[in-house]
Amino acid sequence: MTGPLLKVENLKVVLPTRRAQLTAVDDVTFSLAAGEVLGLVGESGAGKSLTGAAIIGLLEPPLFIEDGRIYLEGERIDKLSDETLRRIRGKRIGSIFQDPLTSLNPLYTVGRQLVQTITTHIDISRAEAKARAVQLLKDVGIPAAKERIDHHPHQFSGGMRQRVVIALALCANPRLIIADEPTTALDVSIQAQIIGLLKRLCRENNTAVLLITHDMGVIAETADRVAVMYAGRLVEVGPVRDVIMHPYHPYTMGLMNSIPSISKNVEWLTQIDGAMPRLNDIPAGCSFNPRCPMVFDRCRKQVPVLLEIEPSHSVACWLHDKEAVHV
Amino acid sequence: MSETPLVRVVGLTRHFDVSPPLLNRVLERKPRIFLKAVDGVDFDICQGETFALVGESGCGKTTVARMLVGLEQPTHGLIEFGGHNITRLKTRAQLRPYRRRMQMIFQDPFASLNPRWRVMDIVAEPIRAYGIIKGRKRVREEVYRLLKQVGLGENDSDNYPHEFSGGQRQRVAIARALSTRPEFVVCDEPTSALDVSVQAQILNVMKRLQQEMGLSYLLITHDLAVVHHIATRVGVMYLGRLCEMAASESVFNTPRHPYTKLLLETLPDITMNRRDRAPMAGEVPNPMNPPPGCVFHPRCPLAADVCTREIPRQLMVDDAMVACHAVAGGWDSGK
Repeated sequence: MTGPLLKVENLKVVLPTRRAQLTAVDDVTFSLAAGEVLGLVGESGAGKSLTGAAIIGLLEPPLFIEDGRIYLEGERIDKLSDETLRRIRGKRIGSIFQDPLTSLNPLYTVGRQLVQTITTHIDISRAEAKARAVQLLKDVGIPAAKERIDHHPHQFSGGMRQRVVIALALCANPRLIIADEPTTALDVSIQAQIIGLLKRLCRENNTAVLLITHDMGVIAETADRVAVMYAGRLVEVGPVRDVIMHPYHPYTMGLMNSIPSISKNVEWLTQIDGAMPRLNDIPAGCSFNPRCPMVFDRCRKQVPVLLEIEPSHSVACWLHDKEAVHV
Repeated sequence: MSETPLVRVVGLTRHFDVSPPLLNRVLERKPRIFLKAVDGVDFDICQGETFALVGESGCGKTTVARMLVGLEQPTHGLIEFGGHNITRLKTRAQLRPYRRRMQMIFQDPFASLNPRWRVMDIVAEPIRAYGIIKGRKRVREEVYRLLKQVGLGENDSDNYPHEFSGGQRQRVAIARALSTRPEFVVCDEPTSALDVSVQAQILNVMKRLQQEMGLSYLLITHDLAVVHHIATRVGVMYLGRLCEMAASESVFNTPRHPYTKLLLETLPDITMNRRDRAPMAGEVPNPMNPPPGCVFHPRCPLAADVCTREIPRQLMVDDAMVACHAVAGGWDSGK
């Protein structure tokens, strides 16, 4: 394989305010291979959605990328003009957002939206585009696709709408899909259908997915690798099984134990006291140090860097810095 | 559990009139349409227990909760609280003694707290309204005690809701609910708006308070993992009806209704067993036009002819209530 599909290096997203520049995403580095599903998890405000938005160039001003580089198939895409980026979005990077109702235009039939997207990115006739649109709707499991293509978004249920959004994202056979909380707005029984669909389609087309979610269950079911974010930084990256079964970072450990599960019986859930710091109030050193049960002196002074503990499993925590002498 | 239950609900029904306007009905001969949000639900809640109602959106679980605390009038049915029939109580004076004893915690702590009031006033208001404690200083001390009970500090009482995180706000909402010293608290999706690490904090607080004060909870949620963690008894709702009701272990270990089985089957879990799950087919039907017979039959893998015609009766299997033709006819085990 020749290089990763997507490479993000030292990404830093900044929110300028009157008083100070707040860093929403700080020094985020990761890569994604073709056909791989990378889960980006974190609690609300951790910066996971902003990371996704930064990659497709959809950061809402005044947010901007202050530092870092983003490469798609070796080509740098973070400094492109809006016009060039527009041609990448949809064609090479598809996106799926949380709320399917707001990602579809309520005034147009889903067929018109699909055909428009297809003809924008692929050079085919309208009739061919329409045939492709019907095929896409069939692929995402919409019954009676031929008739449904002339329906408006409000005539679809929530789960069906999300299927349409997935069809839209797949229109031009993108190499990468950024899925931001694709199942959060859906009921559990529908959620499983959508996860299964996304997995199947991406396996068939060898599409890579950056799956952004707060739901560890979804990650466990879907992702190959997982990256855990906390207060704008990556704290742990590794194969999904390792991170879930043997987390190294105290935050990931706390997070995993605080999730109630139907397969474990505990009287009390482990809780991480406190809450994630606000952007204007990120503590010095490791941003998790005020909540960390294993905090020591170095954590309050020095920002931890990602250290590779096992092959392809990295943790940003001074506890695991083998070279340093522990106090 | 021989003594009278704290809450008893019999045949609770709530229909919403969603008919077209009168003129359209007369001119265009359009019929009256009723949405059966809740259609004949029975359950008891005993003192000190946590009864959870689970179901997908639109199954009527929130409407049940709203009827219990008197925010919604039932169309039919009976609600008893502490042995008294409170179904048809209308005036404030009639409801007042019961309202003090039952409180509610809502899903969104951003919407349920007045943004212009300090936490002190938010928590003190029910105390003053019900005259539980008299005297400014003693009320203030009571608020401090309540805040401490939910894990907040005395200093927090001078702040406004926007100064708190979601989890802290939910703690304020719990403190307010406890201020009238209720016996029964209805919790409508209390942790759905919160992050998991904060959800764990709130669930622990709820559980501790229950043990300390002998509270009874009605927990409304769609999250089965939360139910498994905190509930003692579970009722599974689908399209306005209870399809299964049993002790929590029974529902999770030996689910009987096909809907419950599928719900448990489709739940994403972090145990990393990566079983290839068979997701439940189809979607929740439109409640305005529910399928005839058993409302679950279009999605049910065991559906037979009788399911499309007859509404299944509730029947007791061991210690569980199940409403399913397949279970009644015994053809559910051969799956």
